[in-house]
Amino acid sequence: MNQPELIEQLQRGDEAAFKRLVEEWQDMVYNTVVSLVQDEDTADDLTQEVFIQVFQSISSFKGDSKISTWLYRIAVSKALDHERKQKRKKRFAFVQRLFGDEANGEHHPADFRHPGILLEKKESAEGLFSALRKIPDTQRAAFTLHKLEGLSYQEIAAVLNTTLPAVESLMARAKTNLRKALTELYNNR
Amino acid sequence: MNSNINKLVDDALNSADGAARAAAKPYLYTRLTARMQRNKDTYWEKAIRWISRPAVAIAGLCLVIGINVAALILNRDDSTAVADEQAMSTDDYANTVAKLYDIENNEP
Repeated sequence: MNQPELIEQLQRGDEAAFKRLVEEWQDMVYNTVVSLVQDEDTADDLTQEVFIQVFQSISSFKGDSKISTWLYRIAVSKALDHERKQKRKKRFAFVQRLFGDEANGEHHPADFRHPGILLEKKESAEGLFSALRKIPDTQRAAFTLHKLEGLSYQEIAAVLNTTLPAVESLMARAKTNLRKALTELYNNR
Repeated sequence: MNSNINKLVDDALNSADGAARAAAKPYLYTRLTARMQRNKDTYWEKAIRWISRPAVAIAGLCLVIGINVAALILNRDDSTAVADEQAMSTDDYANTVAKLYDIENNEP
């Protein structure tokens, strides 16, 4: 089925079309989100939220971009919003600890293991995911979309609503910052 | 030592190459539709949830207290005004009666 036809059916509220959309793109959305939030349960929850948002806002989708680009955009935005909330919670928990309160916050597992990483690279990948948590959100998003979703710089520019040179710059800075974070990580071991 | 760390860093940076896509947990669509069904609240459920939001509840409480205080102040002013009015009309009446029968005027 072509994209305009699917969009038209979705806008009519066709449940079968929505089911097809979910089944076709669920792994793509889940992989993007799990790579960014580094927690499988949270990623499952956020994947559902992405599709709920798609269902609620399909009427405003004009079809200017591909459905996959639109889905990536929502997935990245949901994942990064979640990360910002987690950072705020951590800061608040720190303040609570200063005043002697025990704070409960969701924490990333110390070593996240991405389910799709090749067995022989698992150990190195743990270091990479740990370093990814230390770089700015947009750099992390660009690096993740390129390395784990295999998107080209042009496609990343469409997802992040930016230009190709901006993505090139983001990727260069991401690599530099990751190298720094990894060097620090391995020096401290 | 340094070259060893550089190798570890390079390995880590390249570790995501050739990674497979992580698959979503099974029955995502079923769980998703169940969640969407749960989220479909009635008008009254939405209204109750809106009213019970702390900001709305506190604003409502302040409004009720404000109305009560305003009513109290206005009533006090009114009662003073009524008392003054009553006193004035009593004086007027007394004056009128006094004038009418000329009680205090002993002159012929």
